[in-house]
Amino acid sequence: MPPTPMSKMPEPALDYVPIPKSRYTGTEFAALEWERMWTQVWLMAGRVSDIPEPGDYFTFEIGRESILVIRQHDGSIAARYNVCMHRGNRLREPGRGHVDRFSCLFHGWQYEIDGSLAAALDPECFKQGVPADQLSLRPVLCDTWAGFVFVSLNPDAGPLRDYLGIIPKHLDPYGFEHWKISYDCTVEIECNWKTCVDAFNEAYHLSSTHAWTVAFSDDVRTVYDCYDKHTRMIFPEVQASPRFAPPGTVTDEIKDMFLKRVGVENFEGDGDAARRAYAEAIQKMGPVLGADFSDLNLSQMCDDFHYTIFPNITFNTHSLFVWVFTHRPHPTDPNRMYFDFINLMNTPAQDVPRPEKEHYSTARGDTLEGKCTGGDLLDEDLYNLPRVQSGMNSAAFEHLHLGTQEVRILHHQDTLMRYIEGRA
Amino acid sequence: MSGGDRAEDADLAWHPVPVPLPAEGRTCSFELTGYRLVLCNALGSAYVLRDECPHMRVPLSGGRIQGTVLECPRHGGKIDVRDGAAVGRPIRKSATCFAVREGEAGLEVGLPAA
Repeated sequence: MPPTPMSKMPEPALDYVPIPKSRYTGTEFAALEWERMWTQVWLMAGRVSDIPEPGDYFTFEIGRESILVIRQHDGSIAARYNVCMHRGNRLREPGRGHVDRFSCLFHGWQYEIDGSLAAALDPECFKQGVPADQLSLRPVLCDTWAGFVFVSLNPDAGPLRDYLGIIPKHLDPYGFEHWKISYDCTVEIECNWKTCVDAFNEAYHLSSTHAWTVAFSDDVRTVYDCYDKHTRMIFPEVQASPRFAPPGTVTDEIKDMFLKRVGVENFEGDGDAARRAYAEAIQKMGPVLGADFSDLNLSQMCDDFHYTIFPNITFNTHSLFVWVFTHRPHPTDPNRMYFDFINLMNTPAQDVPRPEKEHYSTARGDTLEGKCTGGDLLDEDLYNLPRVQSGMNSAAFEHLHLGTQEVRILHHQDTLMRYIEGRA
Repeated sequence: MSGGDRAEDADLAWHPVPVPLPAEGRTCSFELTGYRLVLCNALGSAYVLRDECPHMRVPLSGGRIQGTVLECPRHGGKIDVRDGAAVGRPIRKSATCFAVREGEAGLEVGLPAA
């Protein structure tokens, strides 16, 4: 497989203009986003592995819509609006399940798993008839990549591959389709969905929000790349920030949190040797895990290859695991959103039981520490987000003031405005 | 929501379960002495309930189990197979569940003695 492109992209031709806060706080802008962006793009809905057999389904909740993603009898995957065509009832509650047919609770209308109307109670009482071609579940565009199901509410969205652009070429070497879900949660957060996307789109916040991490990760030498719609950040790990120690220093944190965890004891050597030792130790684990690292370079073995797929998907990609975030808008309130977090493990050969989705809320004061690996780190971001949103709503705050380390936020805004202004 | 009805052990007649334990997360229906029952495998443990959804009296068999929660295949109502408790609408009443034990020849279910 061709290796992940590593070349640095030219700086995007973007002006560092103020970003109006109304894009984060206003209901009018949120309505424009729904009409001109959310209903036009491809969106990540879930994992292929969650619906292995015909009749297996999961729901995808996006804004005011709920979509059924269903495994078909021929093995394909289809998506239909989760709406009974009789009186509009939702057919299924949010979540995963299995049906032989979808049966509406309201009056018992039934649909085959391909969405076609199978039966209506007392059809003779409908003088206008019950035409199946008009009353079957409405289709939604659906496709897959890397074990993920994507849907689009735009019937004319075009091929998923075209929308993803450079992403498959960059991420296919990891082989995500074989990786296993080891954690799954959704956190309702009191902030705009973009406030959350932005929080993960730069390393500028590391030395303050996650001050303890600069001992083993390098916010200063992070590389930012902007593509057509999507962006990348190569965020060095197993490498201390020069804010913390001179370049090449192998800190105690690198030894304890990285090298010892992969079996490298009593390491002696410089920074480059530490990264090589870490990568080699992981490569040796390949046969046990069933993981193939042959298409990954040294940087990919050590660092976080962080991708943002427009509009709302974040990949924190490592050689052993990837954190996948999706940031979904609240249906009506721009000051609330849903943060979905799944951890995929690069353990194709191991049996990993599918965990149940957990639900949390920052309004309730929920935290992730102790619930998942990295929960303490994410808590530090979750602590900020409602406070950022609250401050944005202050009369004292008018716009975001972004620097070059926040170029991905600027690019995300530019892409969004291309949709809002009909230039996408 | 409270757990379902369950006869006292002393009043039970034990019967061999005539079907093998299905795969984890799956169900299997069977009949015994006039009872229509469903054998459930939840996290590797066997549970037996009356094969009838308390909502609409349709069979629960064919539904899938996540953790210990069985989803009715008709409308998606949810029942905890450990005690029959209703844990998801539209089911509001508990399902009837029966005691299960490992007998000499395999699984046995305790039904009310005649």
